Formats: sequence, C-alpha cells, structure tokens
Amino acid sequence: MTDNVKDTLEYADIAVGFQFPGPTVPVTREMIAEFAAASFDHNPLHWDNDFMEKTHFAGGKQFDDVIGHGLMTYSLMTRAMTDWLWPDLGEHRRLETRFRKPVYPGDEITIQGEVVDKRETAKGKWLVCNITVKNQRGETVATGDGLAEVFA
Amino acid sequence: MDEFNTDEFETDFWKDAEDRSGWDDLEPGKILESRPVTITLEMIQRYARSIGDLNPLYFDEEYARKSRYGGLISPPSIHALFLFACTGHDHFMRTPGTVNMGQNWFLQRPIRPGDTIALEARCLDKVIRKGNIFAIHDNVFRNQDGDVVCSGRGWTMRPY
Repeated sequence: MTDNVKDTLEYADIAVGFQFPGPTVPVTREMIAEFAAASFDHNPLHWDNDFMEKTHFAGGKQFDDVIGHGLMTYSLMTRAMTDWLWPDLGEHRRLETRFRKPVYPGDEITIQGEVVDKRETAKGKWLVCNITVKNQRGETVATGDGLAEVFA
Repeated sequence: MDEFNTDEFETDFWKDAEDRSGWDDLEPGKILESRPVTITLEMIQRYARSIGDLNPLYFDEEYARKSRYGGLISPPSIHALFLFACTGHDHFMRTPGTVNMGQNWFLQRPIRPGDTIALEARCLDKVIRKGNIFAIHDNVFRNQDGDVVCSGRGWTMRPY
C-alpha cells in the first residue's frame, strides 16, 4: 500500500482550488523600521508620525499612523509561494499585487494562497495562483496574482 | 564605478527633495540615471530576516549547495532593495509621501551573493484617475553577465 503513496507533490496532484497557507505576521513599528533599513526605503510614510498626522493625501485622506511598505507586504506574499514551492516542487516566477488598504503597526496579517488555474505550455507546467492578505479584522489589505513554474 | 556603501546611503528623504521631479516633470520613457550595486551576503540575510524569512536557501551554505541552485540565493523580493540602492538621491521614488499602489515582477534568475545588479529604471506612464496623480514605474534588473534577472512595473500615487 505504501508503494503508491507519494511523499512529494507533483503537478498532476494539484487541482484548481488547492490551498496553500502563507505566514501570519504581527506587524510592528520595529519590523517596519528594519524593513526600511534592509531595503533602503526610508520614506517618512514608514517612520515619521508627525508627517503622517499633518499630511493630507489625495482626496483629503489621512492615515491613522505610519504604514508598512507595500514592498514589505509584497515580500511576505512571495513567502507564501516559496515556502510551498521550494525546494523541489517548482519556482516562483511572477507576482502582481494590488495594495488595497494600509498595513499599520499593531496589525496582524495573514497570507493565503490558492491555485486558480493550470496551464501546460510547449516547455513548461504552470500554476496560476491567487494570494490574499487579510488583517486581524478580516479586511483584505492586498491581493495578488502569482505564477509558479512546476518542475515536479 | 563607485562601491555601494550601506553606511553612506542617505536615509533622510527630505534632504534635497526639491531636486526630484514632480509629476509634471516626469518624462515617460526616459531612462533615469542609476548605478550597478554589488550585493553582499550580509545585505541578503538582513533583508530576509526583516521579513522573518529564514529559508535555508539564504542561510545554510551546505543545504543551498546541494539544492538545484547549487549555492546561496536571495529572496525573490530582494529587488525592492535595488530600486533604492541603484538609484540616486534625486530619484522621484524617494519623494516623501510616495504611496506604492501595486507591483509586478517576473523573475528569470535568482540573485546570488556577490552579483552586481544594474537597474534600468524609468517612469513609463503618467495617469490621473479619480482626481489622483499616479506614475507607472518600469524596471529591468540585469546581472554582471548582462542577463535579465527580473523585470516588472510598479504603480505609485504621487504627492505632487
């Protein structure tokens, strides 16, 4: 019986609707500051409380606090792909995101992935994925279209 | 070519803010000045730790050597770092209040420690929608062999 049990996933095993979890991350001011230092993006949006209190953005919009980098959220979304695909299943090839709501210090964001389409091309096997990021209130803060190239 | 020095990177984005193009002065399609940057293992690992990503492909040399990569690599989102490291202090992406609305990157090759990455960066398009002003960023990243490692676009709301 165990002869038929595969211990690793292959392209044929993965159906549309397959879910893969990404990380759940408590976002802190310190994490945002460290991402700023690591990515060299020191925009005051991410550290300057005074600037955020005083600034009226488009349409008079104001933010409640400093906000996390869109690219920090992007980076966490790629983890949903790499944590699942690496080291053997395949490669993270593409991610297209929309940042829909700000991520604030104190938020806890949860990332979830789902395979929404499969496609074989002349030279490759591909999975099209939706990646969704929600905060602790269940609000969708970012969405993304991921593309995985599967080798197995 | 100037060596990129992490410690000398200007972190005050207010400084010389007036030297940066506002939305009116952005020239869609014009390639902006940038410089190649050599990435160190230290920069890669700091970036990975900052997003809590301790994948052994970034940290465990022996594990990475035996993997299909044959050595340590970077997280696939590392290009965020080059957007700022490769561009000058006068680049409009540093303008205080620039809000990232979305990003897409297609990845062809992993970036490895010691790689020297050159960025071809430009504003590709300018948009007004619902009373807000936006820029479309177009970025192509190449390694020291001239191979494209990654390409894609970003979309920012401009404060002015």
